[in-house]
Amino acid sequence: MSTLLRVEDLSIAFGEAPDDVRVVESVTFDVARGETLAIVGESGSGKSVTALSILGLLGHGGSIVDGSICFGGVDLHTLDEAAVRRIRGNEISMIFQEPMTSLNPALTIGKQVAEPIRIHRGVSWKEALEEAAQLLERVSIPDPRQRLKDYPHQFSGGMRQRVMIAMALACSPALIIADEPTTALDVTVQAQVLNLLKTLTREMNSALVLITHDLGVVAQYADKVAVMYAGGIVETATAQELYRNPKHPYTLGLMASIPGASVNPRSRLKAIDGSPPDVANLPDGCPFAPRCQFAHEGCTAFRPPLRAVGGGGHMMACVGYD
Amino acid sequence: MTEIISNPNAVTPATETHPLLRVENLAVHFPIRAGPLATVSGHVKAVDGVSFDLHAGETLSIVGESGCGKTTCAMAIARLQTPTDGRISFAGQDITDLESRRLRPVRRRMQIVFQDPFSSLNPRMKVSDIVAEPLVVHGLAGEPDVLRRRVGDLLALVGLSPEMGRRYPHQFSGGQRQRISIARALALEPDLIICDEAVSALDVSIQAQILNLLMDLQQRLGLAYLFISHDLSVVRHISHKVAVMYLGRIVELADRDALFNDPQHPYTQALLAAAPVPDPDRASPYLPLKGEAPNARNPPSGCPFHPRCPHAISQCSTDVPALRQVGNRSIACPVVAPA
Ligand SMILES: Nc1ncnc2c1ncn2[C@@H]1O[C@H](COP(=O)(O)OP(=O)(O)OP(=O)(O)O)[C@@H](O)[C@H]1O
Ligand SMILES: Nc1ncnc2c1ncn2[C@@H]1O[C@H](COP(=O)(O)OP(=O)(O)OP(=O)(O)O)[C@@H](O)[C@H]1O
Ligand SMILES: [Mg+2]
Ligand SMILES: [Mg+2]
Repeated sequence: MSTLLRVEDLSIAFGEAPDDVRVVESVTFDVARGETLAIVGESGSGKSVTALSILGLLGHGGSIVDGSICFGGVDLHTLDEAAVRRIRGNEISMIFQEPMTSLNPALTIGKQVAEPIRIHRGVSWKEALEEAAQLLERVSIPDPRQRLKDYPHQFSGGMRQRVMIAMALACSPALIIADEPTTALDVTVQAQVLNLLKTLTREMNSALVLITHDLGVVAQYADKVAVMYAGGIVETATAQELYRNPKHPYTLGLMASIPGASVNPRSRLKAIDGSPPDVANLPDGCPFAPRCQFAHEGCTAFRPPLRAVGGGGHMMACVGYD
Repeated sequence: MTEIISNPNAVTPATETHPLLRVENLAVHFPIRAGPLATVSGHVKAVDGVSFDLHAGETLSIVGESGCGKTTCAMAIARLQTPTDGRISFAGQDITDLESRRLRPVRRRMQIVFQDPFSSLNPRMKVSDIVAEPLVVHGLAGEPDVLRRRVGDLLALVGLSPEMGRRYPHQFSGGQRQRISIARALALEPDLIICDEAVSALDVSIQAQILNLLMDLQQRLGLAYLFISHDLSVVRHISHKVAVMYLGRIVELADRDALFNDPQHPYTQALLAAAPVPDPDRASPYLPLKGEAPNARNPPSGCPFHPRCPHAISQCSTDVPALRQVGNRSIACPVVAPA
């Protein structure tokens, strides 16, 4: 399999140095064609920011302070804005975490889905609208031709999310970055949509980066998984290996927090002790150490880098234990 | 995050005759406009005859297909959407047509966490002011010092540091914004919180902390939750009762265990079977519901689920099944629960 996206030592900060806050620290991962990489991890750990940086969408105050992002063998940093814009939309699509904020409330769904198709393919409005309707149909929106005339507020939360997915598929991108794409979908529609994404990834030999909190979805759809905590990747492995053999104390804590049929209903759920870290005030050394049951003095010396544990690309960032 | 001790199974839902919330035959129909003059050409029956009771100290969850009317239901109960028909009673008072001035005390006791956290947070307000706002609006702010401490406590409860209150909503992650909405809803210690996908953007560990918090508050203060969620394992964990909706109607309503251990309605069965399992070695085969997703603007005749139902008989395409009490549940299906 050939690597399509490689992110190396990526660090991202908000604000001006020296008061800037590093929200992503030395993140490295890659995705090959035909592959699905899931990024999971704590709320606020830097998943969305990492995804946005790939598309150059960090917004005001945010910047890449270190590292490189290579797409199809080209370092995106070396391209001018126009070239990056061409890649975004044609070759990389993003499904944003909060659909309502990325849809324009004043424009019909049809206009918003068809416009990029018209621009990128140079087809007529009529053809673009027809294609938009077919895309909505693929994500199970009933009566799609009629619904193209509606505005976003007339759609349910999950329907808006599916509109975002349809838009991402429009230009047959080589890479889709989906940030929590199914949080507003019931499990039957979710299965439909994720199977569609997975099938397209396989058929078009493209790649999927799936950011999600749903560890059931990860188990069923991901090939590889990266686990994030406080701006860094703390563990990465194939999906099968990660579920069979989780190693990092944060991953262990996360897995133990899944509410499942084996837990007594309404009993106190297991959660990782302590408070989530504030990236503006991280402790020295391993950021998970204050909450870690295995921590010892050695853990506060430096932030542990990823290292191989076992074969098959299983890596984790922990010095304390094996 | 604040530690909470809770005793498994200690919560017994109140069963007194007076429900905190009673919803009777609630309907919300949206006009469909077409043509250059935007004439009304029909209606979307987003909610069509929903009834249930919710008691103090109880959690009722609503699950169902995307677009089946859950959010619309929630908005109508919170009086943010005008019902077309039906009645909503809160703490014994009919609030269906209450004018906004008399609605104020009701709003104090009933809070909603919206499905889309970002669009419900004012982008120009600091997060500490957003959380303080309900207290200020209802004249409960007190001394500035006391208020500041209270807001700090609320942020800490949802796993955010009080210093983070100085920032603006766009400076937070999706899950952090969701927790800001929860902190704001808790500020007034309401009697009822409507949670519309309120924990969907949280990792399972922080989600567990928030769910523990919600259950603890319920136990201490007798809060009731109307909990809308697609996450069936969360629903199974925190609910006393579960309502399953399909195309604007409740098709099955039962106690948690009855619903999860012995689902009866064909749609409930299909839904529970599709839940992804957190184990790559047990990948369940993908068995899509047959047929098309139902169109709320042009619903099927008879039972709305019949075109996709494996058990449908001829009667199902003509008669709309009523929700009837059968054994330990309410169910709307003439096949699995014949009259
Ligand atoms: N514009 C911004 N200015 C300052 N800090 C920001 C900004 N956007 C995000 N952050 C901070 O960066 C960190 C990472 O945010 P990010 O949105 O990537 O988290 P996430 O992993 O996607 O979380 P979630 O699962 O809750 O969506 C958070 O601590 C957040 O508060
Ligand atoms: N303002 C509106 N005008 C017209 N139709 C609307 C409006 N709001 C909602 N609808 C329609 O009503 C139906 C129910 O929507 P609702 O948002 O209540 O669904 P939901 O069950 O919350 O779905 P989800 O799980 O996707 O959030 C949908 O078909 C939707 O398109
Ligand atoms: Mg995010
Ligand atoms: Mg909704």
